[in-house]
Amino acid sequence: MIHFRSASKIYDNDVFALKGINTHIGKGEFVFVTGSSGAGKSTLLKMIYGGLKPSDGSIEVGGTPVESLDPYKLAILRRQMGIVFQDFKLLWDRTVLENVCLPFSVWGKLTHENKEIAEVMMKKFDIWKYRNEHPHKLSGGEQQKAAICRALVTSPWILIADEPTGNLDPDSAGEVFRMFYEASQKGSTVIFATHNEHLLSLHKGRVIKLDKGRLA
Amino acid sequence: MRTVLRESFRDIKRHKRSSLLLAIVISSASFLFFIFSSVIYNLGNAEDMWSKQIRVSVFMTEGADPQSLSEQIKGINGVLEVNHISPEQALEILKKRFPDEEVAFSPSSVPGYIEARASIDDVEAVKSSVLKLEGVDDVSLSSSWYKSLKDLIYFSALFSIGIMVFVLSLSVLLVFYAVRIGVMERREEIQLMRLCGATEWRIRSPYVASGLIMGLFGASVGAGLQYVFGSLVDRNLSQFINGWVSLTLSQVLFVYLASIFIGSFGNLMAFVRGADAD
Repeated sequence: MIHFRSASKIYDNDVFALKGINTHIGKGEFVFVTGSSGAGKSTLLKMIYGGLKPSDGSIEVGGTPVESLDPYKLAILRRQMGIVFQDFKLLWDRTVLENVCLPFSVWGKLTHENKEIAEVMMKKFDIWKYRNEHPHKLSGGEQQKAAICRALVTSPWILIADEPTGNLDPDSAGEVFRMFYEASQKGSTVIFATHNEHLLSLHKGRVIKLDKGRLA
Repeated sequence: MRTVLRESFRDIKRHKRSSLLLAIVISSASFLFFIFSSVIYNLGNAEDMWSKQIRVSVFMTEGADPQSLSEQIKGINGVLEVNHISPEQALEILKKRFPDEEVAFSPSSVPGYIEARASIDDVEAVKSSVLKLEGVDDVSLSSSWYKSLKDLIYFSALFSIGIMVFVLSLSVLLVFYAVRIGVMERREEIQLMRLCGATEWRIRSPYVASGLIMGLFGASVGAGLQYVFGSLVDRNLSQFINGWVSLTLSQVLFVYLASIFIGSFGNLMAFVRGADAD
């Protein structure tokens, strides 16, 4: 499903973030991406969703080189992905429900049916009670649950998570991890960047370990 | 479309201060547009009117028949109007023009004459045709005032156009910076929308739509102000310039288009420059 073909990334200041990455992530796989800070985890994830273009090599998603897509096709491709960040990236001036429904809203598909899907998901993860609140009223764990609901609400093929438990206490981290695990059980490909050893021990997923921009 | 409009209104509400600034800028710009375009429009009309009012004064030889000469002048190509001014009427005109020198004029010292009117394009040809008529002593033209007026009108129009271009550029610039600040504030939101699969047009359309709404609002306020201002000015100016009009349909259409352009173009440019970096 996702192919890295000799993918490298050099930033403007001549710093190598990734060098010659060759790897493949299959459909429905749960993959951990690990490595110390600055190892290139975020760069690798950004290149999957087209947030960064490789300086060299190619990244194919579903057989299409992401770096060659025009903005419209990239937008359509991103509709097959759910992306979760360490800092949640919720919109503070919108309610929790509006945040969860953001993908439908930007696709112009904020229908009654899609709102019901969001409702079911929010009820499942116990944040429906906050639907009319703004995110600042929620705890860190609850905010991250809302962010994950936003990523899952469209039933994406690929779920990309960049250190989603980095700002959470162990209990919340465990809960959040279970959300990704369930998504994986339903067939989504999950790429989960973390350096939380405890999480790695919870699930026997494949581990892509990065060290100074190279596969370790 | 409904979503885009809803988001545009929400955007306007969310950024009350910058929206108010935009409304003031576009309203002021459209009001200035109205004022200066009515100056250009009316001066153009006035010039057109005055260009057909060039006076040709025909002085007759002794014994010439004014009635027959008037008929002959009327028949000359380009003559728009002919009047015979009797010695008594000529004396009255002189008295009005030079009230302090009344003693110097007597009915016997002022000759009658024929006054014709022609357009500026025909006046020289009319003069030479009149001079060829029997009974004509001399012909004088009063076209120099028109040439000075034409120059004045030309420079006024040029100045007005300059002001309008300046106002347009300044408005686009002000809209650009006001919106850019808003876009910078929302950069993270825009990037998040992109990550959620929003197309560029989907992201930009609320900005264009809110620019359009602000443009329509600004033009309406400008037209309203001009209507009030015009109704005060029209009464006074129409005494001096026949047919002075402060608000015409073509002006209104033009200002609406210009305001929509200022709003949408300023918004779009600000967006492109402010939020393109992913």
